[in-house]
Amino acid sequence: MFGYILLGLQHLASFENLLLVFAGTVAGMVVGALPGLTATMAVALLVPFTYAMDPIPGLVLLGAIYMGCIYGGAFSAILINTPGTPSSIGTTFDGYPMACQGRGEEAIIGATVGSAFGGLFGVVALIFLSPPLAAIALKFGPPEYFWVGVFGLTIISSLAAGSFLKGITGAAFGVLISTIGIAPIGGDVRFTFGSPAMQGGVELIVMLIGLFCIPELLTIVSRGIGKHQAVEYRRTKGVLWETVKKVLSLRKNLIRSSIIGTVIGILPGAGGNIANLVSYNEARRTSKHPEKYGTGLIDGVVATETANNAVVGGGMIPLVTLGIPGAPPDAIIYGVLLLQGLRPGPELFTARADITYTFMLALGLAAIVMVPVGIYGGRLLTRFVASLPARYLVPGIGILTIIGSYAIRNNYTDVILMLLFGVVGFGLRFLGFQAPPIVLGLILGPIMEGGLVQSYLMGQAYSSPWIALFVSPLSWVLIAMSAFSFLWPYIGPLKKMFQKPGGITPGGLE
Amino acid sequence: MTAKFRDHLGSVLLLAFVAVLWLQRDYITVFGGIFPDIVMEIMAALIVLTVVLSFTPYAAMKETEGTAKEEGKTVNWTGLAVVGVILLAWSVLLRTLGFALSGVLGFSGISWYLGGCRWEPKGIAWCVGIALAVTYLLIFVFVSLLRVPLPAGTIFG
Repeated sequence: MFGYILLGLQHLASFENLLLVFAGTVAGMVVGALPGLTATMAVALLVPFTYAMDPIPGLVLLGAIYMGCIYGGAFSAILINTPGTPSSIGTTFDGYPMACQGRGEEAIIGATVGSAFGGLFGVVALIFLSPPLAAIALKFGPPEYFWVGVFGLTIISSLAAGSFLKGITGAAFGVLISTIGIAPIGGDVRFTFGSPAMQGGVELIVMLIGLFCIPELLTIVSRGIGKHQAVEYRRTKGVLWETVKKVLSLRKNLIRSSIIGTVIGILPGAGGNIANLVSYNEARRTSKHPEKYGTGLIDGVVATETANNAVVGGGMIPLVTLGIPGAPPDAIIYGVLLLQGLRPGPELFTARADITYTFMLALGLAAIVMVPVGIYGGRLLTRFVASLPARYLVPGIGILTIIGSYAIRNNYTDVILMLLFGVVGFGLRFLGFQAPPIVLGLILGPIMEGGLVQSYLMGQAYSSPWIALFVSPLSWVLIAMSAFSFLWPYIGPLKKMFQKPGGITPGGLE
Repeated sequence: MTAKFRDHLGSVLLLAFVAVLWLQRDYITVFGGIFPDIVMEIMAALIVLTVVLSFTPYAAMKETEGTAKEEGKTVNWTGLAVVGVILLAWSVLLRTLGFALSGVLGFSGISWYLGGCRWEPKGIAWCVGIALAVTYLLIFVFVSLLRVPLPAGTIFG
């Protein structure tokens, strides 16, 4: 293996490949920062170009774009409260409050260091642990996927600022929205109101832009600050090294988030969308000051950004070993591998090992390149956004939301839907329903439905069709994890209740 | 607006949404309805629970907190309505006018309104100039560099 790693390093050290890593990372960051343009889209757009290239430079470029794109989503999440990609949803929770407090640079530096750490961790796992970790992915069948979805929903307690009940109702709303369109099993056309344009369902990106971007834009307008800056900027001396030291001191957070990202990346169909939220929840749950999360705590930014970049390496594990893509961009990379005559499996680690290891190392190099480029570019971007008066920032966000929602499927209905969800999101926020649980419901809905209905079909062999959900030991592990995650926020207050002679007060269980 | 009123309003709206979807149910196979039906039932139960809890001391506590948070905040409702209408018009006109023209109109309209709606030639020229620059920069990036098609509009193309 070490011989192949050295060979990969040798390939990567060529001027052409180094330039491709740099260009790919920068381009990926730019695409990732634009709301509506996802890593999947960026990788897909590159496929025709890589077809004409040799396998090594083609894959190096794809890997760098993918890594840069996932990281780039943090910029817009921090600066305008709009996740550039679904993998950065959780970054808005603490990143944007930091930007509003004039600490945008600190948030960007935190996101950069976390992303680089997570990216490198995922690549190390990819290189050294591929075969055993890939075996885990094979153990997940439909019942386990259903329970993964349920486990994902239990993190609502972290996402629902204010009321847990409203958070879970919002998540149910998101899950219900995810059922619009053609059913994944059975093919029923559901809740389309007779419109053929709705048969494809509601695109996650459209809802994401609508629920995050439009309410933020309307909030800036509602503050009546047209001629003034919407985002504050405070120049702090020595912020770079102070923040780097601070982030590197969060060892447990970095390692935990990297593990979460890698493991979730391995599970086909999950990916950065879920990893960043689970990681945020775990960081908050294990913190000594969970109440500070959501107010502008760098730990929250580090948790989400570390996890989503660890997904890149994690998602490649089942791809290169079993030919199962872990996340949507991996599916496109799978196609590119086949186009280049590379068949995932043992052959990639023997006959074509030089290409495989060069590709893996390029992912790691992209994670390193992100640090100087991201810190420099991110600081410039922070200053630029902070210098913009609201009268230019608001229409600027507006035009990006329109492009982002249209570009996904070249569909006008998506633009109208995005606006509709924006108004609904603004109204629901006003009524106490937050956007993150709704989006979480939309992400987990298809995973849960696929798992539940397929389990129902598998259950035809038993006395009750639902028994299939409870047969495997892995299902029980996930049920236990879900129960633990759901009950955790109540354990602290209950302890206090038994310790205090006065008992529990109203609202004490929130 | 009190927290109790918000709870009730939110509950009524979401319940109406569930009811509309429930009435739309027209499954051909058993598999299409298993999951959405369960979700709708759970959601309806959660909404009812929210309404019930809004009459308890727990809600009163939340109401006090919410009222404290709201103090000192003024909302520019006129601005919200105007920008909302411009955004809606922008999205609707996208199909007819295309991205370039609707983009310039929408961008400069919002920019001019938020700048204080002044009929000064210099101010208007700035708004339109920046709108033109931003719109055509985006067209260059998306169409020329990234090969992402943007609507040309039924009038022009």
